[in-house]
Amino acid sequence: MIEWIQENPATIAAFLSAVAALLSVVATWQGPRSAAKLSEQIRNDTERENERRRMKLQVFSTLMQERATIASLDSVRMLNSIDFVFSESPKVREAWADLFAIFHTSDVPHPQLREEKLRVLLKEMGADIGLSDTLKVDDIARIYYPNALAQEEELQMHRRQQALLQMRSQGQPQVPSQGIDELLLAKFPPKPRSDG
Amino acid sequence: MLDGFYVGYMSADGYGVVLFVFRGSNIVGVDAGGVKFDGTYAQDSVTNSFKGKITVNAPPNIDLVQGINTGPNGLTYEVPFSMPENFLEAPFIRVDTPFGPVNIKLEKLRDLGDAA
Repeated sequence: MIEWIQENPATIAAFLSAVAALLSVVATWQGPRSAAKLSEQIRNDTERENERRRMKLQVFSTLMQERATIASLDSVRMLNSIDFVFSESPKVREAWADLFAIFHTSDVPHPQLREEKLRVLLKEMGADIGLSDTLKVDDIARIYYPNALAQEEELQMHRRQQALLQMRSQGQPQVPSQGIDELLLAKFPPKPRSDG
Repeated sequence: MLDGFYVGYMSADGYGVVLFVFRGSNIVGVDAGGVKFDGTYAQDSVTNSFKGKITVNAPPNIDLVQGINTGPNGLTYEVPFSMPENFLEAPFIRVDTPFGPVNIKLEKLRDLGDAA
């Protein structure tokens, strides 16, 4: 084999040149394809990251806007999306778990404890999004909520309770309202019959 | 005629208590929810029964004894009524309101007289 190579150097050189040329062709064809694939993957990763950041900002900004009264429909939707939007942020998810536990304690949660847990959650979200340098805890605690809005919300709550009481009592046997002595009911005439 | 202070026990979808004052041909009343009653009556010379009409003025956002809510603007409606001469012995008087019938048992508390 070695003797044959020594006797035919030109042939060997031609063969090696052909191989080099073939490899060059392959590289010329494959190179741009690999570059395109890499570029596409980078673009997809960037888009995915941008979309995730956009969703995080949406959750964070909604909760910041609604933090005076966290029971609004928008804030409830955002709270329920924390686990998948911040799926790679363990500190945020842990803060959300702490706040969730406060919501579901058997006793009536102290409002200050709930607000404290919410501030921690918002702080962790801000840090995850990259706002920790500009957003401080004092900023989160500063809430503007006019008395007129608070009164409107209280009024709507009472109306809702009244409507629920009325709906639930429909079709139910009439029971005496609280405070009416059973003996006093004896003074009342029977209820009118619908046929008169 | 029927001058005096009366209490009316009302039964419909719910229960209510009204304080009435009869004076001359006028009837005035109010209940715990702030519903006001203002009307007149006259005695029929043939049957001796009493007939009249009462205007009911209910404030906003309360539940009437008929089981409806008066809404943000309140409600005002008229109720004609008729009761026999011996209405105090009758088990109750039925009145038909625009929102359904109501049975009322009237009891006289005292004559108007002088305050003692």
